[in-house]
Formats: sequence, C-alpha cells, structure tokens
Amino acid sequence: TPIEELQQFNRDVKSASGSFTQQVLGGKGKTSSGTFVFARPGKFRWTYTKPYEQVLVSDGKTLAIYDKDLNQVTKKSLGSAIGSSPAAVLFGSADLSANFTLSDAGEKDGRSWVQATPKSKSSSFKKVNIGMSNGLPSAMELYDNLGKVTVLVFSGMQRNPSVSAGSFIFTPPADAATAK
Amino acid sequence: CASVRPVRDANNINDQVTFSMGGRFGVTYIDNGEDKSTTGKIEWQETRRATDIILATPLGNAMASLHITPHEAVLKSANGDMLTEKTPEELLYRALGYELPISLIQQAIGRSGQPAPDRIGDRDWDIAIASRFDNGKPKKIIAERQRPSPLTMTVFIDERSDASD
Repeated sequence: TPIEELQQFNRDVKSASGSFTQQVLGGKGKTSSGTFVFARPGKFRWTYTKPYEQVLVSDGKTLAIYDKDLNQVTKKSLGSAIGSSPAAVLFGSADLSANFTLSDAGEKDGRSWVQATPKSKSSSFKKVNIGMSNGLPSAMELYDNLGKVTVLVFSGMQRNPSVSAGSFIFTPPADAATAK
Repeated sequence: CASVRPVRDANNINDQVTFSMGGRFGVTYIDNGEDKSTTGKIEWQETRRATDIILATPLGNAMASLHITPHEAVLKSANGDMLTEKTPEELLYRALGYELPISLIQQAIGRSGQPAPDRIGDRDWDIAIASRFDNGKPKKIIAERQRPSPLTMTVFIDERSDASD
C-alpha cells in the first residue's frame, strides 16, 4: 500500500537528492524551482534557483535561510519544529507515525497518495498529501491552516547518493547581514 | 516579468481587486539584546475597501493573514488565533512583539497610477526604494528604524499587477 511504500522509503532511504518545482494551487504566483539534498534525520539543503536565489540549509539543529535579493541570512533553531513541519514528512526521522496520522488517499495523476495529518494540535499546517510512484515520493501537497495549498513535484530523485558533510553546513556569503 | 492580472476579491465579491503583488520579506531586529531575524513570502491584494496580506514561510506555508480596512486590522494566524486592533502596526506588535511599518510600506509600494516618491518616512521610520521595475514601480523597499530598537524590514516584490502599466 502507499503507506507501506512511504514508511519503507523513510526507513531505507537515509539520504536523497533531486530537483523540485513548487507552486501555490490557484495562486497567482509563478512556479519556483530548484534542487534539494537531504539526510535523515532533519538535515537538508533546499536551493531555489528560479525565479529567485534562496537557500535553506538545516544541520538538523539549526535552519539557516539565505536570500540573495533580500541580502539577509536568517537562522532559526529547529528544536521540535522540524518534527511536525511539512519537511519532516520527507526528511524527518524514520518513524513518521510518531508525529503524523497516516491514511490512504487513493490514486490521482498516476500517483498513489498518502495523507499525513500532524498529531500536534499547534502545528502550522492542516495536512500533507504525499504522492508515491515506484516507491519514491514524487509529489507533495501542503495544506496550511489558512486555506492555501502548496504543491511540490520532485524529479530525478537519487536514493542514498554519497552526500558530502559540507552539504548541510551553511557558509554565509561575505556581505550578507547575518542575524540569528 | 509577467504581471499578475487583478481578479475579483474572494471575500467581498463586488470589490474588484485594484492591485496585487507577490514577493519576499525579511526582518532583522533586536530581541532583548539578541540579533534576531525572520523571512518568508508575502502576498498582497488591495480592493477599494480593504488590503489583504498573507505572510508565509519560505516553503509557502501561510503563517498569518491580515485584513486591513481604514477602521481596523484583523489578523488570523496559522494556529487559529484571531486578533483585532485599530492599525496594522498595533496588530503586528501584539502578534509578533515588534512593529512592522505596513502603512508606510503601503505608501512606498505606490498605488496603481501613482508614482512612488523616493523617500518616505516618519519620526521613527525611514523607508527607501532600493530598486524599481522597468516602469519605475518600486521592486525592493527597505524600511529602517533606530528607536526604540534597531529594526530593518526588506520587501522584495517578485511580481506586481501594475508592473507593465
């Protein structure tokens, strides 16, 4: 079942890399796109290349966000936040059911879908749907609590690539204003 | 860049959307002596009677929505809180613990059909237009204050409905 496939993905795929596109459903905004690499638990580098340059780097403890146009580095300690954030569904610790209630959400656009509803009441989003195709998540739909749906589509996902330690360390560009 | 065609406003259908924009925001501030910062995406939509702003995480998850009319400002947050104040500045101070100069930024953005002046500000805030679209409409806006404590808010507009006016 798609739930078993997702749980197996979380168990067996310790790290992965690939490309993504991101769009707000029904939104006016353009599609953004870029690349990602992650390693469990909670380490990831999420790089937007179009239509703007922005990178989110997590070493599992601290999330650093650098935006070239804003010329700003933002750092946030993840603490438990990573556990129940949408990213956790993909990059989090192996056991999803600790933070999410999983249910089968049927077939759509050639993918078999799993619905993950956060167990914590204070979570900032309503649910995440994960579309599986041949054992890998190939799409995600993030339903937030204010009626917006963000759709992510993944491509070229590599299972367990060799990931350099530096991938999850953020080195700020010289001129960016850094503030924790 | 492709401009965003105004559409009917969702909550009061007879109000034509007169202006809309999407972009990113960054805030750096001091919180009891410590440098702090936050960043995310911003969506902004105006009708004749109200301004609606959505503040989302970089990944697009809405964190809060603001509904601003001349008489009040209402904030709905992702965890279900709802706050109402007279002005957006008081509202955000209550919600975040620091003030953001939304009304001054709204002036700086410049309504459709009005040229935006280079420098806007008041006793506390200094607002500068750091870059513009080809038609002169503001693209990057930097709002700075020193009192009561240093705070900088940067808004970078990726697209706006009057970008090709």
